[in-house]
Amino acid sequence: MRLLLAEDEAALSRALKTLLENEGYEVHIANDGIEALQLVEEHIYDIMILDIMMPRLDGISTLKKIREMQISTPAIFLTAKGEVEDRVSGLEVGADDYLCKPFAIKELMARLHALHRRNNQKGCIEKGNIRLDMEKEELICHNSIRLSSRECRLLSYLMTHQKEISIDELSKQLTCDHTRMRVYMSYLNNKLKSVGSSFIVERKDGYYKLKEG
Amino acid sequence: MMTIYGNHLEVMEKILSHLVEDIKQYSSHYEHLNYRIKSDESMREKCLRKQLPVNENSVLHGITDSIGIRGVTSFLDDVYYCKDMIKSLDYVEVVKEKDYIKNVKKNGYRSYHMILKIEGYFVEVQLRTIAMDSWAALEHKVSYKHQLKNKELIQEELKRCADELASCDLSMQTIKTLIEEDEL
Repeated sequence: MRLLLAEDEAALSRALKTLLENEGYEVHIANDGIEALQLVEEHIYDIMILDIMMPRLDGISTLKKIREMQISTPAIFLTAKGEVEDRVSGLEVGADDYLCKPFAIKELMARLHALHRRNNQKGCIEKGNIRLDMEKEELICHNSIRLSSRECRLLSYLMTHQKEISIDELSKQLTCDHTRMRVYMSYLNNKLKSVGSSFIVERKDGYYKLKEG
Repeated sequence: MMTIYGNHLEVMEKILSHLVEDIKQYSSHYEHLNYRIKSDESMREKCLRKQLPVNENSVLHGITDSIGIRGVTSFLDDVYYCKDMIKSLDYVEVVKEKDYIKNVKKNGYRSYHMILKIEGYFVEVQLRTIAMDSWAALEHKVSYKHQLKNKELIQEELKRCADELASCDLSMQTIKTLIEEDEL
């Protein structure tokens, strides 16, 4: 796992690097925001830790630029205690988490693990005993099957919404008319059955809902 | 010339042709039918592989696909329709059934298998769709090659293909059903 540490306080960054390397991370250090941007352009990172107060380019501006480059690598900010504004700005600009200085190493490690765990499951949605791999477009239960792109998106909406979704809303999201929607829901029902799932897509009064059969 | 089946070959051929005739009554559900008595050479090879002595007893009682039929259908529902039709024949005793469509094999293989007993002889029936059949043909080619450089990648990709073909089979069956039920 490769980690980017953008921190201008040399003693802290050296200490953190050693501790993180002991935990199995490969650590690249940037001493300011500009260096961080250069590194991000050259390498792929699994996680980024950014200090907010840095010379040349501060942490918030740095992450803003990184997110503009369409890089969605999880990021944790190190913030000075009491600076609510910093924490809010940090999260709004695309950080996943923050940690106030001074912090316990144990806590940093725990937050890194949590981020990594969440990031790995990004491509998969689970509900009951079915799993939908969005990247592979694969539906898995007792058996597995591949879905078309449209079926995959439809099923993901149904799985992530507890209540009914209106047919109009789905039609808009998937740019298809109601009749085609019905055909695709029929496909989904047959494919859910084929993988051994007891879920069914139910249609009622202009709404669709995923129900346990 | 004596075959490994000894005096039984004539009876076995009669059983096979009789069953095939009955199955052909429902030809509208089949795309094609393959059937055969397993060749002496294949039988010998299978006996050796299963560590059975190469004799009449082994081929009639130890191995169940000496008489084999494979029915390939256009649509998924036809597999089950044909299965029910074969089971309903009064001279057929069903010894074993394995639904590899509801319980897909790890490598992606899908088919419906039945082992029947007719007049004391084993008959193996495989039912599958065209899509499953073309996949099985490729998989067979691949598994016969021993020196595969990227075995894992090939297996992964074959599985993906099997799952995509299964998806098409279901979509086409769905369209067919919706049309028949006047919903489309």
